[in-house]
Amino acid sequence: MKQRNQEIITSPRGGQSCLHVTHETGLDIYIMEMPDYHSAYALFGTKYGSVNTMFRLDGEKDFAQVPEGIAHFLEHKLFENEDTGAFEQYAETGAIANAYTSFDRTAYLFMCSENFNPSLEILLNFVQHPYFTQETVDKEQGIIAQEIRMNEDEPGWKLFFNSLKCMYHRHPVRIGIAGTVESIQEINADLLYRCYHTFYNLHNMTLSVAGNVKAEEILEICDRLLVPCEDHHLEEVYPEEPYEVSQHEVLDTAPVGVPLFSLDFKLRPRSGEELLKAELLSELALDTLFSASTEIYRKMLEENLINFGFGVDSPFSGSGYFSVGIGGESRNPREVRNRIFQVIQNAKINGFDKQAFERLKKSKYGSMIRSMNSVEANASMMLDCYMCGIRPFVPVSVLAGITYEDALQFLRDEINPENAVLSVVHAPGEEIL
Amino acid sequence: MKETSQSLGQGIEFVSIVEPKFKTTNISVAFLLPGQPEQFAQWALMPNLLLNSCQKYPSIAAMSDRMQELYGAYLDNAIGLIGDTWQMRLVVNTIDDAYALEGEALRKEAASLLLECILHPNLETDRAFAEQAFRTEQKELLDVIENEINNKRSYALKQARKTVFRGETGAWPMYGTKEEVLALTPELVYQTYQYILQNAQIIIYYIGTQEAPELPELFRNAFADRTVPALRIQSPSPCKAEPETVTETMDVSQCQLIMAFKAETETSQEALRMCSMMFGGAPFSLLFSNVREKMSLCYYCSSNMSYGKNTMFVTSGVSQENLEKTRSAVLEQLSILQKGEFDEKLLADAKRYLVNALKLTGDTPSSCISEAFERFIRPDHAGIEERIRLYESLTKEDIIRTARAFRLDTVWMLTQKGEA
Repeated sequence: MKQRNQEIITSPRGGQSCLHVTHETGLDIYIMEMPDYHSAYALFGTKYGSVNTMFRLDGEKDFAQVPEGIAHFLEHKLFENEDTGAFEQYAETGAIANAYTSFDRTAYLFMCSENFNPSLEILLNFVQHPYFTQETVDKEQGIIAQEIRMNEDEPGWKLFFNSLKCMYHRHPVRIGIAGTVESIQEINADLLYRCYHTFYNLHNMTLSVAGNVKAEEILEICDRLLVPCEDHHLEEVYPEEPYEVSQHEVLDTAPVGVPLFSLDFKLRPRSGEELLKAELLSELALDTLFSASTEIYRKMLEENLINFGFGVDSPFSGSGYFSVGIGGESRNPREVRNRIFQVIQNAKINGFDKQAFERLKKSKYGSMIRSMNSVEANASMMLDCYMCGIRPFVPVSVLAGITYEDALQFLRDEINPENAVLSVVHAPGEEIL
Repeated sequence: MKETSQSLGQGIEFVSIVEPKFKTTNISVAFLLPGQPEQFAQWALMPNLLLNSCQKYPSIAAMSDRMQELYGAYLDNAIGLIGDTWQMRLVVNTIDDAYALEGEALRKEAASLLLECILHPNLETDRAFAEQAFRTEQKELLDVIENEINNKRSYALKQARKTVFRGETGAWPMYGTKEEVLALTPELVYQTYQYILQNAQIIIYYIGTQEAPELPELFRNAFADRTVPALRIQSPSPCKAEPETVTETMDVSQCQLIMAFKAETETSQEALRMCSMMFGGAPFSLLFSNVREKMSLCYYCSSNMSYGKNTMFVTSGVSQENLEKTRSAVLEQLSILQKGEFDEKLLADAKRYLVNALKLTGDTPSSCISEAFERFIRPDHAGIEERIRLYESLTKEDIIRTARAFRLDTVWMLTQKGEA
């Protein structure tokens, strides 16, 4: 048996616990045994997403810069190896498999009700054994080009990326996760191998499993299949990003019904537990001001300025970026922006409804408990915590410690109407007041 | 898990699922009626009108406050067609009492809230919904109809259904038309609600960590006996003599291709689902491994069955220049199934996949409800074990026979404006 550092981490609420193992290969492994469930869910993830475009390893003099969309391209290609594809192997076990790439991570996953161990072997094997040829790379370009086109027809996607482009001057969060039809043409097998060997290092990765599994069996498989690798001390750089947004408003057109809008506040980036607390504070402060319980919501609904789509979005954050937004549909989004700004300015001076804040805190606690209901949510929670540099279950404790005064102070100090972007997508020919 | 069911009266069923592993309480009330397209607009308006306010919490703000107090409980709803039967679900979900920080009886409170919404809606007079609440929901529904264009894939499917199911209930838009919504009044919708309360088949699902002995009594008092309506759940759709092709244009980056195939001979649900799974339901299926992976024509090209309608939809997003090539490729893959030019491994893979998916049932409250509901609507009321047996018993010959029963009915395309 290989050496392991391990600890049991227990939730302060919800009665759950998980095992955290730092494997000698460098991989962080999280396992939550849920014996009352039939299913199991596993995620094998790396801290590699669309924002990781400039990097170097120990001993390298220059930073490498790679084409936009390469992390996502790599995710697609990893499913193939020399003899057979991962999907064909999963077909032998019956597992439902998939993968995703976001701004700051890539994760490969499967869910199953039986044959967990062989499915885990497939997962660990194919992610650790890349095989790319120029022929298979060329073949993938048509598929990914259609994925990019699909996203271009998604108005919410357009709204979001237009806003990011206005919030960020240079940070690569402003580029599309899948890149562009043009940028993916620059990708070749050599570049894929380079990115793979940089980011798919077990010191930069995690395995998260929840469900009807046995930790000892998982660790035995890990001991057998994890390929030891040296920590190359990955170094990443991001272009210097000013605090101020680059543009305050962006309008775009697409075939849509009621115009869509988002009003996003660019915040100072943070990391770890500090970021988690800031996310909760921003969400709670804005929810207290704009939930369906508030007077402003009632008035705007009555005046037909908004519909039920109006609400505070989940905070958006990662290495060097952090924002929180309010969005929905409106035929007069500029007036909605004015009303939102007025409410925020007023709250900065006069404070906000303390009872409403306490209700929303209770409500947030309820949603955290609810999210522990499924194996999928628990495995994802452990992966998220690893990616954010915090321990599992910390969000419940951090929430418990948040006070009305913290939220008000955060609103006063951090949520600045002068640092917000209004993004609108409307139908061609429709006039936006 | 312990599941029990009981009749609370004629046309009213109560299903209790006790599962200690969950951390939530979920109560769902399903109303089922034969689909009447001319009523769809008012039926669509109803769920939000019932759940966004009620007599006790007479505004959106009051209702929102109450749900926040109940630890972010949510009232949810869904409407849809199963076969030609219309369904409305009203749902309340809250965390289990064990997690309440101040010992609140959340299950009891959640059940009371849902019953308040159903039995004591927000009325202006004893014959009409409150005018202001009605106007808000009417505007909302008009926006929902206008926004159907936003998601191109689901828009294409909805448009295709108009041709695929022409002359049948399924051709009609679930939310009605704008004109129909504008013609509604608070009185008319209230009358229709009374009709639903008195005539719909009702099924109540409770899922929680403990027995809830008080619930059957609460719901028994809520609803009167009714004559069970004749529900058309199995309502096969006739195939057109010749396939029909419809094209719509829009300013889009990607074209949408929808192909509808109908099985012309009677075939079991399991054979239809297995056939669709092998055709385009999973990453090992013919459409995924050939049209996507080998031919690189698209990001997605998948198939699925419309329950009770013997209709299989294939959906794909493709470039304009590859539309025809993709259409031909889909037909070619179907012919492989029809000619039996596939190996037994494909069938074995599909069996494993479907059996695995069935065995996942029971790990989320929503899958427990879906499973209980499927048993209710199936003519044979088969449970999971029986369905697994049915899947396992399918042979290559069964699949060939089922694939041969499919004929192309409709090709619907959303193409780029200004292009041929």
